[in-house]
Order: sequence, then C-alpha cells, then structure tokens
Amino acid sequence: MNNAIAVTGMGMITAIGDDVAQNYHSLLRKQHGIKPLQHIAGKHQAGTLVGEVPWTNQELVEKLGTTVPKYSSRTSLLAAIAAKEALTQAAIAHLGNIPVIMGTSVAGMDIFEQYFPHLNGDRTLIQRRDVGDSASVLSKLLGGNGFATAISTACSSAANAISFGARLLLSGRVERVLVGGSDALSRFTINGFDSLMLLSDKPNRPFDRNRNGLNLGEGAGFLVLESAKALEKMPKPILGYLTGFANANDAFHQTATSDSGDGAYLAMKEALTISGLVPDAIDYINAHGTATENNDRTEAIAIQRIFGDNVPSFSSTKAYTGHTLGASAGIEAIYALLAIQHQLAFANLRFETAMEQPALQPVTDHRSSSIKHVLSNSFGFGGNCSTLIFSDAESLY
Amino acid sequence: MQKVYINGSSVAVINSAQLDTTEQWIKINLPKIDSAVIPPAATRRMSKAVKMGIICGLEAMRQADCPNPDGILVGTGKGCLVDSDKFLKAIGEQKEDFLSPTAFIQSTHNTVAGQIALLTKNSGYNMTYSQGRISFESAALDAYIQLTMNEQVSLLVGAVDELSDISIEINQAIDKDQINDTKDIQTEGAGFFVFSNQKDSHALGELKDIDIYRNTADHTSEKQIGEFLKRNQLTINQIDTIIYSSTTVEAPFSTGSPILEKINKIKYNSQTGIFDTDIVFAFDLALKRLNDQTFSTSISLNEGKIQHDQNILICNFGEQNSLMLLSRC
Repeated sequence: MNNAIAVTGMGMITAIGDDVAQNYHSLLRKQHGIKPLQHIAGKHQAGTLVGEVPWTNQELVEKLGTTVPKYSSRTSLLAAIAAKEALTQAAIAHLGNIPVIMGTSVAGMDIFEQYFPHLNGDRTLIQRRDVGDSASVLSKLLGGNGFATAISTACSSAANAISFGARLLLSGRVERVLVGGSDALSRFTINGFDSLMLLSDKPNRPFDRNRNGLNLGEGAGFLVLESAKALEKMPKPILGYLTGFANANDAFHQTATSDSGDGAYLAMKEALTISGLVPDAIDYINAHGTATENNDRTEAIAIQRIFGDNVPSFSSTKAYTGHTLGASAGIEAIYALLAIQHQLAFANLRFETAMEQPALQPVTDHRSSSIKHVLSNSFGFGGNCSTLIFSDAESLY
Repeated sequence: MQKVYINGSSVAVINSAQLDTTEQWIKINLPKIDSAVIPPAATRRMSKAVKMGIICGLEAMRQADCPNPDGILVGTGKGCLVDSDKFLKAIGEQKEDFLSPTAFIQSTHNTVAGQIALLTKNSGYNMTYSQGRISFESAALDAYIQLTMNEQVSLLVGAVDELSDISIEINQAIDKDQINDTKDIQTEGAGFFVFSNQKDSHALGELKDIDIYRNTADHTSEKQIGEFLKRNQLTINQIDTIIYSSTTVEAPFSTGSPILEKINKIKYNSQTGIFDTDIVFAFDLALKRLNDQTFSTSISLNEGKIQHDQNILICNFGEQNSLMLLSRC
C-alpha cells in the first residue's frame, strides 16, 4: 500500500482526561466531564454546563513544562499539550520542518476577549486573535521551522486539517505531518451558541427524542500521519490508517442542516468511495451528534440514506466531552482509533428514547465486537460537512 | 500529474490613487451587487467580506465559463472581522444579555466560502484557510494538489480580507501609546480565480508550482528560490519578472546576486496598500502580464511596454514565505 496514510502518534486533552490513556479510562468508566463553567468570569460562570478542561492556563503552562510566548491563548496551550503527546508517541524528538495543519474555530479569542477593547495597549493581543497565529505559535512551541497553516471551517475544522495533511502526504511533498485541532472555551462562543438558543441546561443527550441542545466543550486532539516512505526509513508501531476523507457542502443554510442531510450524505458517500469500502464494512460510527434538534435528526437521516437497514453501531461521544467545536474531529479521530484498538463501540450516554423519524438507536452500553473500520462525522456552520474513515493496521494487508 | 491552469481572475482592491493620502486606513468602494443575483434585502445583511467574495467569485466563474466548480477554497487572514467585532462589542455592552445571534452566525471564518456555496448551490469541497499573510497560498496549495492528483477538475480559489471600524479604533488607540514603525496603509480587498486541470480557451496561465516555507539560518529565501526553480527545470534567468511583497525587516534580495539584479522586480504593495491576502493582486497582475495586457494603474516599471513575460515568480516574504510560479500557456 504505497498510498497508505499511517497514524503513528496521537495526543489529546479534554474535559475527561489530560492524555489519551485518561480519556480512554473515562470513556470506559462512562465518566463524563459536563459541569458548570469555572474559568470564564461573567454571566455563564458557575451556571452554564460545559465540558471544560479543569486546569487554569498557568497550570497548563506547567504541564507543558516550557516557556510560552506572551499572552499565549488557551487554544495554543491545549494544542501544544496534545501535539507533544502525539509527537512523543511517534518517537519524533524535534518537529523540525514537519508541517503543522491545525483546525480551530476561534483560536486566540479566549485571550483577546479578556482585554477587548483596550487590549492593555499591547499589539501582541491583536496578533493573538488571528486564527493563524495559533498554528504558528504551536509550531514554534514544538521547535518547528516548517510550514504551518490553520483551517477554520467551524466545527469540522480538525477533520479538514487531517484531510489536508493526508493530501500533503499523498502528493509526495512531505512524508510526515502533524494534524489536528484545538479550541478553548470563550465568552464569544458561549454567548454565540446561547444567542442561537442551542445550549442545553442539562447534560446533553445525543440522538434522544427529548434532547434539548448541546453543551460546549474545549480541548485538543492531534495525530502524526506518516507515508509508507517515511515508515520504510524508520519503522514504528502503526496505530491505524486514515483510509477515507471527504468534505462536502450542504448548501442549504448558514447554521442549520437540510432536512435530507445532503451535505452529510455526500461527505460519507465520498469518504467511503475514497476508502474503497462498502457501507457494510463500517463497524462503528462516531457521529457528530451534537444533541441539537436539527443536527441529530438530519445526521440520522443521512446515516440511514447511506446504510439503509444495516446501520452499524453508532454513538456520539459529545455526551462525555461536550462539543469542542474546531477540535472535535481531532478528539473524535482518536476515539475512533481507540475503538479499533480496543474493539469497542463506546456507549452513547443518557440515551433513553429513540427519535420519531428516523428511529435510530445508538449504542447505549459499550459494545465489544470486531471493529476494523470506523467512520467519524463532523459538521459545521456554513454547511461544512466532513467525514473521516479510520481502519485497523491489519485490514490493509 | 495533471497541470494546473488559471481560467478566470477577478480582484477587488482599492484604486491606487486613493493611496495619495495621510490616512492610515482606506476602505474599498464596492460596486452594487446586481439585484437579480442577490435580493437587496439579503445584501444589506451581508458584510463587506461576503460581498467582495461574491462579486469576485461570481466574476471569476463567469470569465472561466465555469458556473459549477467542483469546490470553493478561500483564504482569509482576519476572517469576518466586522461581524466578529460587532458581536464582541455587544457582549461587553449588553453584559452578555439579549444578544442577537446574527453577528455571531456571520462571524465564522468560513462564512464567505459557505455563502458562495449557498448562492451557487455548490455542494462540493468547501474549505477556508486562515494563516495570516499566507492564507491565500494555503488555499492555493490545497487546490493545486487536488488538481494535480486529478481529485477535482475545477476549483474556485480566492481570498478576502476586510477592515472593521472597531478594529481601526482599537489599533489607533494603541498607536497613540506606541511609535508606529510602519508607514504602510492598511486596506482591504479580495481576489478569486478558477483553477482547472483542463486547458481551454479561457486559460490565462499555468500555475506551475507553489511552495510555502519558513527561513532558517542556513536556509535563506535565495536558496529556496534556487531549489524551487530547479525542480521546475528553470534557471533564474528564465524568470522575466518577480512580483513580490515583503513584511520582513531585511530586504529579500539584498545579497546582490548578479542574475537576480537583472530581473524586473515589482513590489506591489505601493499600489494596493496592505491586507493579509493582498497577494491576490500579484496573482492577477501576473496573469495580465502573461497575456500581454498593460495594467490600468501605473504599476508596471516599464509602463506601456508589452512585456512578453513567459515566466513570473510571485514571492511573499514574511513570518512564513511563499513562492508561486506562473507561466504562459
């Protein structure tokens, strides 16, 4: 498989754990991280439910164990922690000229908004607001001197970053890439989703008939992707393969998805085509499943259009982490790889009653079974729909 | 590997005459959007970034006779700054109460690409890159790779950046306390192009290659340019014109390479002012020169003389650098 895209490293931080191992154990114990907001002062503090990383920025800097630039955003700190874990697992000591492709929705907004509009009279904060600054800071924090770019397509950002990284490998331009996403909670996004009346006042219930909205979350998830050529030179354990990736547009509405789930359908269909897999080969779907009325209904419709009567085990892990926006596809890519590694479809928490139409039933208890191929969905504002497919290391050979 | 042609090109930048001013911020005057294309009620809600994107995007597609490209890729350094500022301001002033979601909805970085898709019913690949001054090149690199690998046939690729009054005020307040070391005038603008791996009568030029890199102590831009041209089987004396931008303190061509000295060089920011994705102007200018068109403004160093350029190198020097090679086709 000359075109195989191997995952050789993964790293993450979320409300349910500071690394991949902790995240896995929280999933196993069905321990979610949805709690009242702590770190952002104002109306939502101590009331609004979120999936917040429990550490302060200062504590994150200490975890990272390095000096950071002035006014480093929480988004950059979370990204650096996750990316460092991924690089360590891939036995990459120095990032060097390895490209960094980062997905994020609001990047440094968390730090910018704290000083808006006077900004302490410091130009650095204007720079920190730039989405691209977060990718640059990340690359530099990891000792990199290569190409760094950010993709910002709202909640599908990290999926698109992973796909672009894959294309850089396939083009033969590079042999390794660091890809993923990071987003910190911010007053900006919390108030934005609140103004759209999409926030639930209870822990979210993906795909449940009585779901009433999402809980925002924060975190980061990064992968190291390597080409066959890189692995020939330096063989290392392979955690899985990225076998399918696609993006399509719903072209229906800026924030709502079409009733027939067209964008989601097209993204899943194309990702399957690229992977060369038939729908029946998919063993588990890590759904976008934000627990909003609109998303879960239309995603379920699209899933049914693809899989017909044979819908595989599916669940949304946003019940554990909250919706981490631009980071979610990076975090959920790792959950997909963990599902393959441990042959486990993760339980969809708090599901009680199936929706009326379509009456799809997610996995309500961890389901142990043979899992070779996992499909992961991420959809964002602007009709942006992305699907990734991960496959186990053996099934390719 | 497929070749990549540019089949349509439309840019919106300020009129260079507007730069004769003591102002530090100059906004672009946009033409009215045809009400047959978008109802006036809808255009009133649209930010300038979205309007610029739609005007240039539709025009590039019209020129290329490509109403339904396989995808839309947009680069933007600052995103939808006006709506983002508006929502931030409202959060502060209204103390997080009774906020209207409109500005938040439209503040998302991918609003421009999403709105063009919505307007043209384009369900294809839809991507938005935001990486400071190499935002357009990031989008162009993605498009270039997909077209060379024949994943797609034609893609609308563009960039847009807008100014916002609130951000101008914030900047001015900071400048009162700090010495402003740059005399560059901040502006806004957009540029859209149809990239295709099919050559037809609309082809304006071939995008031979694109590269984005950072300088290191032992890897200078001159070295990178040498390697870049070599992999495209060209030598520096086959480059007719270099169109470039530089936000670095050191002059990019200072080492006095004798061949480099002879090449016609255009530093275009004196004509456009500065915005994160102003490189779209260089891209459009290069296409015009490849088609023997004199430029309407006084940009050319040899005004009025047709250049017969065969190969043009576009360089963007800054925190990250980019090289784009455009050739006559």
